[in-house]
Amino acid sequence: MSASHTHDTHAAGHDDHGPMKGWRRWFYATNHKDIGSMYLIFSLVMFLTGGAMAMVIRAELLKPGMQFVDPGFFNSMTTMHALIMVFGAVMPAFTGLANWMIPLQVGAPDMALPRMNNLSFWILPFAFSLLLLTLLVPGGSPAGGWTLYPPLVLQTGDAFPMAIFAVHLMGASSIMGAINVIVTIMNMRAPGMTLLKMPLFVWTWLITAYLLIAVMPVLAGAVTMLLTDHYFGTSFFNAAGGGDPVMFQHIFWFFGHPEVYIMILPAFGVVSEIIPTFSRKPLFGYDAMVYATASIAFLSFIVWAHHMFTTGMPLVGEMFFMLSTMLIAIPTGVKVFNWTATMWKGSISFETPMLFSLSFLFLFTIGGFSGLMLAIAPADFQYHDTYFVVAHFHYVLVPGAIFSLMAATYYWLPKWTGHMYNEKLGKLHFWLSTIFVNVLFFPQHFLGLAGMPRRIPDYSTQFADWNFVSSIGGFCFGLTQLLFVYNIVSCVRGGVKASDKVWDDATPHGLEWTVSSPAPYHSFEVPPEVK
Amino acid sequence: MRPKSLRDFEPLSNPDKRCWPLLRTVEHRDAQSICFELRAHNALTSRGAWLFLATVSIGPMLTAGFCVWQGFWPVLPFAGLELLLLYVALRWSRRKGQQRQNISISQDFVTITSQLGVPQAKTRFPRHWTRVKLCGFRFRHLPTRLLIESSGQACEVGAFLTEDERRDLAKRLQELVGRMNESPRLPS
Repeated sequence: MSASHTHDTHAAGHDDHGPMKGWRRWFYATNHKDIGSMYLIFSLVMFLTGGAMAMVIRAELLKPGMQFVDPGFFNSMTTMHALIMVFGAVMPAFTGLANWMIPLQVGAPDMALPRMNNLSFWILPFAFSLLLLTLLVPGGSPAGGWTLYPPLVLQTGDAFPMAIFAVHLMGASSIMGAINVIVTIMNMRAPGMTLLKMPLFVWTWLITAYLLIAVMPVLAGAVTMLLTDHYFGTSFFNAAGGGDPVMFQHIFWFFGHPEVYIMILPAFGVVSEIIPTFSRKPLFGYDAMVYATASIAFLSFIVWAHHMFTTGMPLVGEMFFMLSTMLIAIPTGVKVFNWTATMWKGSISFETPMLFSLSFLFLFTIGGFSGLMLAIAPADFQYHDTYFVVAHFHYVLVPGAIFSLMAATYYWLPKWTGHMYNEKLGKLHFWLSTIFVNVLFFPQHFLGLAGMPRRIPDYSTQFADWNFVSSIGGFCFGLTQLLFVYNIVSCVRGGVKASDKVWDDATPHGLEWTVSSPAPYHSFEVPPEVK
Repeated sequence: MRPKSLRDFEPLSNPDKRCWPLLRTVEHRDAQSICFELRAHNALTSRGAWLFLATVSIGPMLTAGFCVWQGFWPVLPFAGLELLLLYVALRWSRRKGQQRQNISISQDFVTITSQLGVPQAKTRFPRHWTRVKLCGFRFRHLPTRLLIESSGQACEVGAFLTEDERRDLAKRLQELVGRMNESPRLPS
């Protein structure tokens, strides 16, 4: 008898073993839906944690003068807020969406590497526990900003190696997630699902995964060099030993700028799914959308130095990075045009996911325009390290990435849970979020143009009024998110039964709508047919 | 047109005509036996996989090479490790997609030939004393396991099929193999 036969005989003795109960189901999870849910819940927890840190920042900035925290802790909060929001909230949330939706959308029974999928998720709680524990160690948590520039970051106390290890773990998790996505999309598509038939969300994630593969080793290498400079006497970035601290900035931003697109390309994919559904029209210019996404990804590799115009570089370098940055406006413009054209003469309805997508469209474009202003090298010399930059990237990341995540949650939540969420509450959440996100971030443009530097706990009285407005907007935006949490929890616990198609009155496309609601534990009770 | 059941699947003699899930389970018959060929699915060809891997490697290797040139060599091992992991993952997924199993049901025997790797494993059970069992059916959170059992020994088949395909196959096999101590007439 063959070895496989012996194994089978052994396995046959366990016919009646049931599903893992309680914590084991989650700890040993290999099902893409379970892991996707864990990613999404984790990212929501991190969103609230990072949001609480933002509240500390805004409380301190409510009035001029020192109010609640000392400057060191304030700087720790800005650093931790950024690290948690980027690596703990936005990236895992999109990975959670990828886990849930990509196998459903390409007709695969699961992700390609389920055990690695489990590992890539479970690394995250350890990484962020380690990062959060830095708040308790002597010297406090890292306070040099999420960019970790030397030599400032080397002044971090005992938390330094913990933070570096946490960044390594986050990177490892991201890489494993990206590899899983790539292999699933490339090798597990249903027959007939050619690359140019894939939903835009799948396409944008494929390109995002490629960006992750390309830039994560750079971050890992950079933080490793910081560690060896600090503890092993190397001088990669130590000018006294012949190193160059400005090179860290080059290396960091070679990672950091594509990282911005890692956070926004899947958002483009989400919006490209939602707008056609509620416009009751196919997406305008599908191929152009794919090529525009790829173009944006390519350009993201050659624009990094626009983050560091003020470090000094040859004029030709400034010209190159200025113009290449402006070029990004072209494929991004193609996308905005195509979304608008999709809605043109469509029979539009305004359910919560559509409202968030429309808000994304308007407000992300504002973030894009302020990005164009920052791309102009001589102007950037004025804006650099002011609140104008803070306003710009928050417009890109909050009404951009986070609003798209909220849109995606409302759009697919009925498919995940089998229940409709409370639409009235969803709309209330939308309106309050949209109003207060503008109250929070729009005044920061004025503050920046007036010259208020970023990362300061106290400021001149001339900045008091807009800081007050911004803080009020921040508190209200933060409180509004509790509605989102409540709506999700209520939807998970019960509600009106969702149909298989969920959006019966609209025209949702894609294989995910061919399975029942909630999506069955094992996808595709009826095998998908891709024409 | 999508086949409605295993009976409607294209015969193996026409393997080029592909439609879902024809690639996975094919039933064909000759005068003496009925055969099922179970095949996993790879969307990527071997050449495509290599081409894809080479394309994906260009960016990270160029970046790592530039960093090494500038003296920042620690980037290189991370890039190398990552690409190695991608290669292993693709290879593992493709090997999983190459799994094959043949189940041949004749008047006297049920023969299962598995190529879940190398070498090929062949198991033969007397049909009269064989039964087909779908385990774990009542449990929501685990995939079912399709076992062909006889004389205290069992062989799992179709582990790589989707749930629906496995249930469909189990139903068809149960019809053909019958219960223990039964030999239903094979359809002509």
